[in-house]
Amino acid sequence: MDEPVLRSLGLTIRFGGLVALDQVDLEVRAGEIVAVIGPNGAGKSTLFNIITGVYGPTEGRVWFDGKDITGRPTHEIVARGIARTFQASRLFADLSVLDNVVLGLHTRTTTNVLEAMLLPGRSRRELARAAATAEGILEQIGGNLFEQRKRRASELAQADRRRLEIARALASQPKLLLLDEPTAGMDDNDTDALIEDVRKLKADRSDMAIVVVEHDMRLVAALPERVVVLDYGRKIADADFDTVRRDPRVQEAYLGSSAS
Amino acid sequence: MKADGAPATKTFSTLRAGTVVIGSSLAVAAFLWAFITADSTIAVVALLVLLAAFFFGLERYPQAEAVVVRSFAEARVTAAIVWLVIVLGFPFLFGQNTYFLHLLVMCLIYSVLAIALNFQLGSANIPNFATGATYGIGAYCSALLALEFGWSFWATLPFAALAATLFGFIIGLPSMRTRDAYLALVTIACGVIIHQLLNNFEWTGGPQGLIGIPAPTLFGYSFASPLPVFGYTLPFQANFYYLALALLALSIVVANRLHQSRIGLAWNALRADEIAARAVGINVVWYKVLAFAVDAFLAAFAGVVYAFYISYIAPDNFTFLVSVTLMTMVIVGGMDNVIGVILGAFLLTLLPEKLRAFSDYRLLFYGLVVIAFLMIRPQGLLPQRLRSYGA
Repeated sequence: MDEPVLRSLGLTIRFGGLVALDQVDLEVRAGEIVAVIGPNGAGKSTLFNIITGVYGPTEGRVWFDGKDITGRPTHEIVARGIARTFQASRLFADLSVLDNVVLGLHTRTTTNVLEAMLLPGRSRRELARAAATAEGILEQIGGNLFEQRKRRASELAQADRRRLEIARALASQPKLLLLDEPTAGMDDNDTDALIEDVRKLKADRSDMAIVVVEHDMRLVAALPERVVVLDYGRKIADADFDTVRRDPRVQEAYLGSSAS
Repeated sequence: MKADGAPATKTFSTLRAGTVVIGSSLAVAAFLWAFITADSTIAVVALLVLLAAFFFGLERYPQAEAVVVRSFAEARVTAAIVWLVIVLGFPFLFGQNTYFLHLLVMCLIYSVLAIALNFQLGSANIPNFATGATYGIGAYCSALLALEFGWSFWATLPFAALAATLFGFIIGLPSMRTRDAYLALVTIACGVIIHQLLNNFEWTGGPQGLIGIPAPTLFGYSFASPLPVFGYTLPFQANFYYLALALLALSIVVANRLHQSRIGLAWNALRADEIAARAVGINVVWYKVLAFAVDAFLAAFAGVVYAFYISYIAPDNFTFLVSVTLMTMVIVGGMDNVIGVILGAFLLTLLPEKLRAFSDYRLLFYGLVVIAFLMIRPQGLLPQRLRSYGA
């Protein structure tokens, strides 16, 4: 078996007396889609925040691509190849749709401040190239984001905002894509479209791993190869969807003990 | 617009763009001339009402703004020539009136300072209240080098800029632990500390400041002597007008180059959403410190020109109030729009001078004008525009 692209061991984080994550081990292989589910407050978003360096864990370590990235600053982790989206979409609202994706290419461009001042032609060409790449990504992502590329991101409809966030994350050509509740606030049609988008994405970039935090069971049933269940910060299941669905501990976590 | 290949239409559109460019440029120059030379209170108020009416119209009919912007983009060469003629010939409109020329020089220096602050406030939304202090560091550093060691203006320029940039890094780094209102407080404190130090050190001349800073010379020509041009003689202030103009041109070039690079885009990302900026891989701390450094660099240049122009500097020229005024210029003019920021700097530099007739109520009236323009144009006189790439 080859080395997993992402591996965590004994990941624990305490906020004061609250144990938000408790000894979580996780492995994600290249090209795999993994869903992380669990009741509210189970620690799903916290897990993402530790992987991307927003928080440093109290205990435990995270390896990405064979290297220890525990507690490294976010920008460094992103440059190594992890991209994410946010639960409540976080776009650069007063910039154009295209600029949002160009910013996704930030780690793929290199001009520093002196070069920008002294070699304006080069830095402008670099940005123009990035814009061309970004247009390509927008054409690929579906919907009609490409046609809307010159609008402000704040003017987009909800489903398009999600798409744009995913496009921005993809721009950095990540090896691992983290999607934090991509269907939040979407209706059934939008959710179906999103599932289609992710499938298409997968076909185009077969070795990119995706970890998705999700509440929508239709998506969880349709997409991932493996489902990880968190409850009160602990991992209580890690298997395919059908096995997880029948797991009594999972049912208890979701429905309460009296239901089982 | 671009699809119509008929040459006749193209000539017409080029002609129209050229006309719009020349017309609007001359109108701006004429207005500025009228505003500077207006000597009665009624004339000043009338001009302010005219300006307010103009921007009110612009707010109602944004298409008009779009036409002007497109015309300038289409007739770039014409625009460059027209503005070159305007800015080079402007001092000749004032004959021997040194006061008017002095106002112009101050407008230019404040424009540079406002552009410097715009890197932070406009591009990256960092409320920096210490620009007045970096301006002072530039001025004091160059004045001390000139007075103590006999350095020339040109030699002090890079050193003063370097010293201020270093200061920018020094206040930038601790500021990064805070944000928003707390960051503003840290910068206010830094500004006040610098002012107090300048006031209390022996070697900065204390409250009396430094006097007798020698005028710059260029190939034996002193900037303190009147400027002869084609048999016409301009007052010595004209030397500094052209010097400050060159500095403003440099600032505009730097601002545009940074804006059109990934640096400017990253600053804009910080302004919009810091957490998202981090998630696309932007080193937030570094880019914020960078904004402080660039601000300090340009503000120091302005300080050097100011010190050598006035030849006398004191701590009270670089107070917290200067920083607040600069901030108002950027906000009223239009955040992240260089032309807007320059407009704001000109308006707010000239306004107190033109409102002298109101004597005790001058500041009240000044405040009212600022509020009125913010109500007419909430996003600033010329708001930021979306970027465009290539075609």
